Amino acid sequence: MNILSIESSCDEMAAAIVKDGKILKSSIVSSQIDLHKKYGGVVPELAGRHHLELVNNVVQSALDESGMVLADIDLFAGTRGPGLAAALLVGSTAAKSYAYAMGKDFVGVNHHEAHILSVLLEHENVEFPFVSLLVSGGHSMVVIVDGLGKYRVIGQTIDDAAGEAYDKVARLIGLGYPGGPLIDKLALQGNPKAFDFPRPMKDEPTKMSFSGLKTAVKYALRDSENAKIEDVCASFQAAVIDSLISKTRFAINKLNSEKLKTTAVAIGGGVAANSHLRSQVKTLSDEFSIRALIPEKSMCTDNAVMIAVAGLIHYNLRGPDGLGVGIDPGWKISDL
Amino acid sequence: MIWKQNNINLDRLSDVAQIFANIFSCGDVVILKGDIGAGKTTLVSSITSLLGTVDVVTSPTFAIVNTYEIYPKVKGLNKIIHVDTYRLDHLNEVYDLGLETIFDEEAVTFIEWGEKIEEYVDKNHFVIEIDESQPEDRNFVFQIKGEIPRDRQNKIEDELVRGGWENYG
Repeated sequence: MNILSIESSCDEMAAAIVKDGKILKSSIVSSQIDLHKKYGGVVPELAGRHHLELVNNVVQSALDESGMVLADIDLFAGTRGPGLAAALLVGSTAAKSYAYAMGKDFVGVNHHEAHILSVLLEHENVEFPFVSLLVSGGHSMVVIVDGLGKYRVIGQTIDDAAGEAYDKVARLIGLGYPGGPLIDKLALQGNPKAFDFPRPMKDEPTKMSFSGLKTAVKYALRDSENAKIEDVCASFQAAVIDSLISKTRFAINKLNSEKLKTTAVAIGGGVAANSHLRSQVKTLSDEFSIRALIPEKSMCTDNAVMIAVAGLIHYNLRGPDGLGVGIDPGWKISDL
Repeated sequence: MIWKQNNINLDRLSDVAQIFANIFSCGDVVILKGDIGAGKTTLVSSITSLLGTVDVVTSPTFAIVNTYEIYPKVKGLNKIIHVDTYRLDHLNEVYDLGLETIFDEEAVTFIEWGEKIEEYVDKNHFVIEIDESQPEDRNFVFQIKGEIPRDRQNKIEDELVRGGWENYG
């Protein structure tokens, strides 16, 4: 079964074709290809009505890359939420329109669930329950995955997301955008103990907070003129990752205490591409002697492949969605 | 109409939020200005929970728009819309995002980094500026932009005076 999926929850317009939920045929992310050169038109920095100009080109590009035509597609999937309404509407309506025009089924997908389930593409025989750490520019949450479609949010940020902290700290330091990869690179050459940045919500195992950390970096930069940028980056990164790992460890212990043995720890979202987080999650998995489900870096940032993977799973579980189903910008994973 | 309150310690932020929660009602648009770390999101979060939402209010920087339901309605208010234009570089991106469609007569709308789109908000609105005087202290400026009914203005002034704000004309 060939699934064509469209993801447009925020900045990216993406399309992918995946066969049987396992075999990747093509994956197009608007910011990563030169659509201007290929098709003409403008690639916007942000989501919105520009998505409308991009969507058909991105879908055509996914078809071209796979060597398929629309008639080869058996199922269309689109992100219904959570995300920015103006952006979600474009991708989701496009996927429904293709389904209607081709006389095929449509399935709507939750963006967060797709990030969590994306590990199923690259890892065989994943068992439940497992703990997933979902960290991106917009979200930071620890989720217990009891089964397909069964999620419990155990911890989440009460202010800024982890990826947002990276980007704002990068701006404070004077680095470019996106800040995450730049800080990650500089941190490798710095001393993570040079600055004793706070680990907020240390005694609140279900809450994360990164807003105060951003402010702490601001004062460190102001008060120590000779601060090495590498040291600031390394110390900041250590504080963020320490928090993420400790909340994840809490969720694993919680799940184990319910006599449901945690089988694995997974990560997803843009911050999951961070080298320090990846190595710390591996260490955490060793601590509990469980599997570490770490996606390829290209699968961490927003993409449509994960929408196809989650779309097929839901299609098999509960069948298609009607074409009347709308978007849901605030769709919570616990409400699935 | 400019009102000010200086050197407020961050542990008194909830008092400031309470005054604003008393002032704001359905259909209001509030623009927040201030540097990174000034406390814009924290203030909105504090006002929002006082207005009646049960959700955790997180930063809308990446999502650009977050919406919080208030159920059941409180004085006709059924949601809080929390916008952040930090990531917008050009005014035309505001049009691209369809932000003009989000204003809602049954909501209070907060817009962080709102200076970028203030010229675009032709509706009467309020402005809150937060400025760091000390790491733990903030100066606040509150402005009413446009014409509002006289009786509402009187009520707002009463609240501000009670909260220790000073009128700068």
